[in-house]
Amino acid sequence: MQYVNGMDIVKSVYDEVKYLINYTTMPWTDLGEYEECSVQSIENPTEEGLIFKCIGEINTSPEIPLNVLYNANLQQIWDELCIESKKIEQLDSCNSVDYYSFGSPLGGAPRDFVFLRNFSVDFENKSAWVVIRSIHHESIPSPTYMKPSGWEFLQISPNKTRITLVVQINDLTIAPYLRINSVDLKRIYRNTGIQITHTLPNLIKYIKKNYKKEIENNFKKFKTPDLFNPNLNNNNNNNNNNNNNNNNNNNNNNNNNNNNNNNNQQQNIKNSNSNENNNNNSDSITNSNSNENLNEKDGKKILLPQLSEEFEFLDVDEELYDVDKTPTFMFKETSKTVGELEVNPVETGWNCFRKFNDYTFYYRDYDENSLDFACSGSSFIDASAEVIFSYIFSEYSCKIDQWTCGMKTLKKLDQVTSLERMSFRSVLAPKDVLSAVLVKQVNYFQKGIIFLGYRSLLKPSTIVKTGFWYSPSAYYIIPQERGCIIRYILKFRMYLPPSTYKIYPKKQILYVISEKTRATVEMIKYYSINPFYLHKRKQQEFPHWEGIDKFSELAEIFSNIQIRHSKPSLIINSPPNSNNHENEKKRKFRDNGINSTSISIPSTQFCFSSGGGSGGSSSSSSSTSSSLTFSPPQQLSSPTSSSSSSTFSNDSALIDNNQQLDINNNNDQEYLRFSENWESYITRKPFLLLISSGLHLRKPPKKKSPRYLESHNLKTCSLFDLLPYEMIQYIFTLMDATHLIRMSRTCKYFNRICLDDNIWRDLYNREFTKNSSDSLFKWSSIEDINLGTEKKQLLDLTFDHSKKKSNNSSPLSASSSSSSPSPPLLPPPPPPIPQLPDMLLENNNKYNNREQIQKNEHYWLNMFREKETINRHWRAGNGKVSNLRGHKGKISCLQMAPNQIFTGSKDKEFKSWNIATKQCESTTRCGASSVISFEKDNFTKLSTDIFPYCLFMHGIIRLGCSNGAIQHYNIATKEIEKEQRFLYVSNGFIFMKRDIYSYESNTVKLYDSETEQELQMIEIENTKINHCKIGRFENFCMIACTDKTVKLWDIDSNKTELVLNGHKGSVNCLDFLNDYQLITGSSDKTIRMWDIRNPSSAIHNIKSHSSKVKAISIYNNLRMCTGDEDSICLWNLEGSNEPNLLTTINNLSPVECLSIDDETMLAGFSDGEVSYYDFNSK
Amino acid sequence: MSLVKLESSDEKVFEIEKEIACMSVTIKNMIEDIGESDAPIPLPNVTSTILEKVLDYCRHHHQHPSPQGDDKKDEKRLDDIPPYDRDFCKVDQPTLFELILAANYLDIKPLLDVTCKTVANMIRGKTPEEIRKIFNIKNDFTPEEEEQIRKENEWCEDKGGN
Repeated sequence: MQYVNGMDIVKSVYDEVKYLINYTTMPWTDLGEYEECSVQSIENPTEEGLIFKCIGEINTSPEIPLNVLYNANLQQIWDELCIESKKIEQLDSCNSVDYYSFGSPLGGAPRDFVFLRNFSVDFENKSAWVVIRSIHHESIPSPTYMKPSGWEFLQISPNKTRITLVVQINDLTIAPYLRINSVDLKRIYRNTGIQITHTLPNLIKYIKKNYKKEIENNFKKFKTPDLFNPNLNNNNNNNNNNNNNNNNNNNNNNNNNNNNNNNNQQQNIKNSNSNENNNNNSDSITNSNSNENLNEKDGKKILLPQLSEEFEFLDVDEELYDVDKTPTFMFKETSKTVGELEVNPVETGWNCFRKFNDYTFYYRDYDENSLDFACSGSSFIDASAEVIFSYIFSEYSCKIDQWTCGMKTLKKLDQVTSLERMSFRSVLAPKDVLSAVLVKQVNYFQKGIIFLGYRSLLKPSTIVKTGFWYSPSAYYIIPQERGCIIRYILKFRMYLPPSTYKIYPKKQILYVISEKTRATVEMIKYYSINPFYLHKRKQQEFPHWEGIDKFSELAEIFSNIQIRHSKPSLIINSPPNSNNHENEKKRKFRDNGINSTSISIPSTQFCFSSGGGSGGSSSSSSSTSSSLTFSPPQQLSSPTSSSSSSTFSNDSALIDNNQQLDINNNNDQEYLRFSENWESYITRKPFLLLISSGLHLRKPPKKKSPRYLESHNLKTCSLFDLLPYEMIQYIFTLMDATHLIRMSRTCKYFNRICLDDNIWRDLYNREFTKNSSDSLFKWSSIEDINLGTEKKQLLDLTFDHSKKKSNNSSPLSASSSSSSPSPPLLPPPPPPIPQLPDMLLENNNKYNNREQIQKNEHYWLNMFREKETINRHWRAGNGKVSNLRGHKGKISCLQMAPNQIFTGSKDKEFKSWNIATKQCESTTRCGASSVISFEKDNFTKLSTDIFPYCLFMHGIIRLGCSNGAIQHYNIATKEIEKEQRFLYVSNGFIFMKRDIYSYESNTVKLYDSETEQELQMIEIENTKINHCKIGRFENFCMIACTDKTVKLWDIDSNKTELVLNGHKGSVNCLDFLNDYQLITGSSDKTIRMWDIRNPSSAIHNIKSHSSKVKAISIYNNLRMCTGDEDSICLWNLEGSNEPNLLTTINNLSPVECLSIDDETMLAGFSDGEVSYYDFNSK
Repeated sequence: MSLVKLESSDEKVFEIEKEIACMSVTIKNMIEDIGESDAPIPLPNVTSTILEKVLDYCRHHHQHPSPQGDDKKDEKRLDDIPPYDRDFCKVDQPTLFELILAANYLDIKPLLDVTCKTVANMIRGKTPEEIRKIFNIKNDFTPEEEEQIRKENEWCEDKGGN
């Protein structure tokens, strides 16, 4: 704890309360209305608990309720639930420290609060404020904490004010402070706001009731503010009148004490009401006397008891002042008892001597002759509140409790308070009928809660006469969704002189009384649930009084239950003494009260009287001294102790009165005005407050939103960090692929930059697109390969069969037979299907695919990687080899299509193969001749062919046979549709659109395929023709001859223009390198490069083969492969430079023909096998 | 000959012929925008040491213009640096990187190409570890990451390429 500046606290509390009241957009939950006041609640957003709001209206100026609240002592008068309220310290005109104690309408323990209250007027906004905050003060040991709360009094019209009360309650405070854990009770608190909903309605009712005159004065004052001073004078006059009243009533000390408590106008009003009540009581007493007179017409002896009753009623006049203090004084007194029992019973002297199910029993010694008994508990009854209420202190009490003779209402003082006469029997004297006058109050709280409280009308000092005194006790009936919770606080004081303990132990007496009390409550339960419970006699909770003559019998019954053997023996040993004592008690009682010679007559009369209908639900004991000799001294001592206690209470009352007088004087001097210049009538001064820095004062810290980690700056910790990203990228574009990859392995930052696709696109174009004029088509072809590769990888199947050794070595030979052409016998053939539309369609498809592929990440990097991989495999000769087996004769011609391979053989068969599965798809037999050529086979590929594939899926290709027949083969249907024959022997064909070249022996002829007419013919003497190739411009033909020369045939002039000499053996194969250069292979094991523009000698003569060169194939002026009788050589071409030998692949059979494209190579052997080399996979 | 004044970041003023200074596109644009005046042209991103070397390079190439290469494909070649340029770039790494920044700021493409090619040539023929040592690059790969990257790039390495 520490002292802090009070003004700072006031400011913060004021702001918080103002926010809660004025911020109407918060999601308040409507709880309903209670006595014309609406109640709302909301969950506290900062901690567990609720915020309640109560709104009502009153037809007065804000000045009136403001000053009613300003006087702290008044709240215990007008607030039903306020047990005590007083001012502790007045800091200045606007700030005070006050103490409050509130009871619980559910029977919980009362709570103490110490509030700092600040009063202020905001006249511009026509409102006044009271803000409240819990603080600590030395005089109060452990108050309850409550968060900032407050009132607003808003003037709606000159004589109308809207009052708003806001209270913040945490869960600990909401729960009723009970030893019994009750979830239902806590739920009532939360769902109804019952803790605070009584406050505002009580304030409004109080003002309406007591300030009618003030309202009139206020009306006048509104017109003429100067009238405030006469009001003050009036108040002073009232005080003087009170003083005069005090002087006039000097004879009655009690009245003086009461009048001292009434120091303002409201109390005078109550005094007048009390006087009226007194008159009413007198009338009722007179009426009862008259009735009894009429009933009893026998002798005068009977009238004496009635007179004693009348005497008792005379005492009522003195006690009524206490009765009419407030409508809930019984509730407040009982709440104090709850606090004593539930919170800290030891400090208040209570001993808990028994616990049984829902009951807890206490006792404490009041003085040497009396003790207090108390019972506390709660339980559930499955019945409605009305039914339960009808069995408590009502005409039905005698039905549920045989020991209660009857209950009768003597006088109903007001809607809440009534006087009841109860006749009952005491467990200590079962045969005697006793009676008591009780003050009974019934309060109806929110949600149908019924509070029924009662206490003796007479003062406690009168216990000597009656033997018992009922302290404030109560039943709470709390309706639930089904049934009710009933809570009971039962307390009374009984006269037990020490002589009684000599006969019966105190504990035994207390036990029997507790059992009797428990039985009463249990019977209320049973009858509430089942009105016909009476028929089940076996389940009696307590013995009937008719069977009991002495307390010893009751003690014996319950002692047997407790299995205490010593007690019966004790009773047996001294039965005569006990009888004597009881007899003596009875005699003394009659001698003192009644002058009668017959015992039976008074008993009979009393029974008749009890039959009239009166009784009680509790029992008490009464007895007189055990011997005549000691009776007078004890009686004398009792009044002495009573008077001494009375003296003590009087002294404390005087002290309290003095304090209250001082406070009232201060209050009279201070009066808050609701006006523009209200501050001129008040005084301000600084003050300190004692504040505890407990956990409840701290708001729970808000959860911090998770922060996103700052992205770490990826850097290399080197001088490269000085350069911007673009500069580093530019440097990397100067590197080749190998060093770029190495750079990407140095650190993560460079790894990201080096894998940028822009860098790889430039690299790819530099490395693989040297011929810019073909870049568009090359790109398309590369794309197609990429797609095809994926398919191959998925569908590729490998064969592990070893190659068969083939001894077939049929040499190339052809029978030479020629015949003069004869007129055609067949009709002219139809023109072939044009292939242009297919090409256009495929081009469109490729472009679409390009767009899709371009979206992939690292597209160019992957493209570059693929090409580089192919190059490396090509250089190392590490292609994946697949063997196509099926042909039985020498392979004469072959070519690749996008998904197929076509081969022709000397075994007279033409086959198509699936590239993915390497299986033969179809075989076509071409009659009785060998297939020696077909359209666009390896021998006819020219540099003018843009696309790498010479064949397409749809179309017709022409097959040439050794007997001169030409078969028209449909690639789609794999059938021969037509046959032409205008010559009868051939060693090779060249198909070029309408031109068909055929060579045989030493003659080359040119035919027109449509007219079948021979157009040209040349005969070369003294040699045989091995191979022919048509030049780019289609006006000359290169002819490889067995006479070691290559001859150029000018087709237009039909003459041999020049001869290439140099080879030392037969020239077997040739292919064009570009438009003017060609490469030839010879039986002299050499390869020579020629330029027809300088035919005198070969440019290069390469001696790498170890046997006759029989086949050659060139791709795109970049790659070349040559085959001899036992190996295949792979070459790199670099323009006119000498070809660069890369590697040699060994094979078992002579190579007859070769075909090569971007990533694959196809080789046909003399033993009928075909090998497929894929350099894109390893 | 008209002269122009250039002021470096440390407020040193250099006088040079206009034609030589206009080899820098940045300076050329400034002169065209501002007009000829005796006030020095501020170059806040270039220090005096670097600016002096840059002006030496410009003077030499103004006196000895290099023949224009017709083939743009040779632009990426790293082995065609002239002897003077090769000697000009034989400086310590910080100076070399500062020259790259100055060439970029002043927009002198021949100087930019020469300096960048020099850095690229420093990387040629080196393994990743050697490259780290030359430029003091910190290796922030874990051993597992490093091994994985090496395997992914085996297609690009010959034997002994590590």
